[in-house]
Amino acid sequence: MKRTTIALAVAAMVILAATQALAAGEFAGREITVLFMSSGTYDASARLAAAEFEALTGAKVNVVDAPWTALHEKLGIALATGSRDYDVVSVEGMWDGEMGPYFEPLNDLIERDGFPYDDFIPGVAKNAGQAADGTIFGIPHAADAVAIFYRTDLFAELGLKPPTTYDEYAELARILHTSKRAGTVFAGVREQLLKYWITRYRAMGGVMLSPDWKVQFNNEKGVQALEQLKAMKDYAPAGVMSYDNPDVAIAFVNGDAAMAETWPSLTLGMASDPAQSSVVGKFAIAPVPGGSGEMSTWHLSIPKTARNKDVAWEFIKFMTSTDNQLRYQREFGVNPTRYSAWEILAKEKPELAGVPQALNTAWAFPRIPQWPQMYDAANIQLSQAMSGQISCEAAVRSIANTWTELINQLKPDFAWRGD
Amino acid sequence: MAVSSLSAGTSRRWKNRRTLVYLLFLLPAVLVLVATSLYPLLYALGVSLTRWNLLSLWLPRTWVGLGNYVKVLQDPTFLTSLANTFLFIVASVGLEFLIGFGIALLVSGESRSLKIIRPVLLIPMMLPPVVVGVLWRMLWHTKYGLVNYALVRLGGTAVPWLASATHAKIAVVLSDVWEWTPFFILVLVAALQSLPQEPYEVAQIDGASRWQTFRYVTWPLLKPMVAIVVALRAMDAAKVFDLIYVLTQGGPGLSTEVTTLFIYKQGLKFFEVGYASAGAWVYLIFILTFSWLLLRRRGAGVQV
Repeated sequence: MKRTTIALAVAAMVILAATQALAAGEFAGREITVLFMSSGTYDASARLAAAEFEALTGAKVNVVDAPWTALHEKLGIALATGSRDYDVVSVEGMWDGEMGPYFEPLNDLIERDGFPYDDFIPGVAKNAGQAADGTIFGIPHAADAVAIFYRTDLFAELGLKPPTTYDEYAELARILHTSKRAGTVFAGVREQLLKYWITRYRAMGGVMLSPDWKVQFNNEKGVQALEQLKAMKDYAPAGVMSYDNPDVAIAFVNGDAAMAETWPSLTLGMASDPAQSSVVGKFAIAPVPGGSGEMSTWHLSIPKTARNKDVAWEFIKFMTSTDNQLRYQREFGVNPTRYSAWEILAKEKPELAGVPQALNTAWAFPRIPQWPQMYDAANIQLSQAMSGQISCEAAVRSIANTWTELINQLKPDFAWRGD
Repeated sequence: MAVSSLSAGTSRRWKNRRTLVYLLFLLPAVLVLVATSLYPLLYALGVSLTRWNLLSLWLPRTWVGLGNYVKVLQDPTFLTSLANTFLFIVASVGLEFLIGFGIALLVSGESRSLKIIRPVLLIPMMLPPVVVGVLWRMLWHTKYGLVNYALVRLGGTAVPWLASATHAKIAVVLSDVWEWTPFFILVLVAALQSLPQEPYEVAQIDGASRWQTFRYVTWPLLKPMVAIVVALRAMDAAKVFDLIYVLTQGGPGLSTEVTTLFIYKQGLKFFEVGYASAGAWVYLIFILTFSWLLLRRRGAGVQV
């Protein structure tokens, strides 16, 4: 009886060990937490990557997501308090000035594993995860440039062509505006206004800051650009000042507006989905008048306080591989950031062929620690001017003063691009 | 009053022991209060005297004395937020009181149907403010919201609720009124049901009309209760945050920017904790003054 019991126990242990060995992936039993922006696109791509990474390596990946404003606050608090909760975070390039030093430098890892960092579009990489001194602390996984969506069917009907200047754009909005359908739509909510103003100002040949960080828009061109933006309210839906990016996408895909000035990566998926969109096959994307829109870039970084940096690095390499970048473009409309991915994609979808070039030449806001305050202060003034509470001159002047004050608090030790 | 062994005897030894026991029972609560209220308050006061960015630690951390206070009291955004908060409190608490009182008078009876209606009326109060915000954000949507849909169906025109500076203020107040009027209904119904019957019988005998009964019997009896519940709700309204954060984030422009939002942005968005703490202390004094003024005028109760 005793011998049988021992034999059974040994057999059980052997079987248990065998099943464990068979189930083991490279990182079996490990667990990482990743943080992404809620958008239906970036977080969706993260969840897909998480499932496949787990199947491949056995590591469990928890995906946490938050909307843009909340993401900045969540990430900021986590970094400021030295939290060890996150292993991989998706960071918007705009926040690099204040968050960069909190991330693990990746230069050595890139060299050790022969990671093809040069395959990433330089214009994007420079503004996402790269410090002025060459330290690489993030790998870009998504990039986008504001563009103009327009209804090809309506344009064909009225014999119109995509705009090459903002005056043409305004004229098109006027022509296309009817009582049932707005000429255009944009995100008029306070947090989204700055890019629309600066893009128009740049299209007039304006320069934002001089190389030594002096404000350059406190003049007639700056005011004119704001007046131009304000005039667009008349040709946009009535509630446009409360519209955020999702509302803009919804308005365009429902046919409430003939044009939309917004982020392709947040709109393309919805617009091409027959279940949600009434404009499938009836729209195209044109670059913003004046050539380059504002660039939004997202990079994957590892906080210095992360617990599982080795698994985190493997996840980053996995998610930014050429194949996966193509996958996320096809499934969710997320723009790849690597030339090798674009080579294949441009052949598959010729209508997107101009995008890599647009990404390489798009402009980005300054990556300095004071940026969030400059961004918010400018948006408050712009929003007040747009709703008629203050004049456009007063708004531009106020923005100039606040920016000068904030920049002088800690003059950056590197020169501004000068645009 | 129950007689315990501790209250037996009046000698000094017994009195001291009693006091000691009372203190011992109070100690845990006092410790918790000190740790969670007093200490953070004083710490924030200390931080408010410095310039300190919690995230960008390479920005110089310096002593500025009252500099933050001077700056915040001249900050147009902060001052606008104080004005907005004051307007919000007066408008929303005022409306909640008037509507809540009216409904309370109607539903404070004893019939069976009223006993079923009363809990249903309380539902909005039980929802988390964030949920209320999301719900009303959808309802106030200019194109797809139910409010404009109903307005248009009834023959009116669609209103740009959250997109216009004035309408956003109205929308925010109405959302808060929807959520917190039940609070007034709850408390005032309880108060009305606890009123003594004799004054009413006397009034009836004296031949008082319904309005006279209300004006000379109900209202004086309720006044102290009303004052307290209004003050409570006002202090709560001063803390409004979730609703505004979800509905408008303070926009358009600064039309719905309240001080709590300002402090949150300064402290947890820009991580300027020194400046945010100064703003918070100024706001604390603002609310204390406001509450003191409110409670001062509550008037004495009526002895019947």
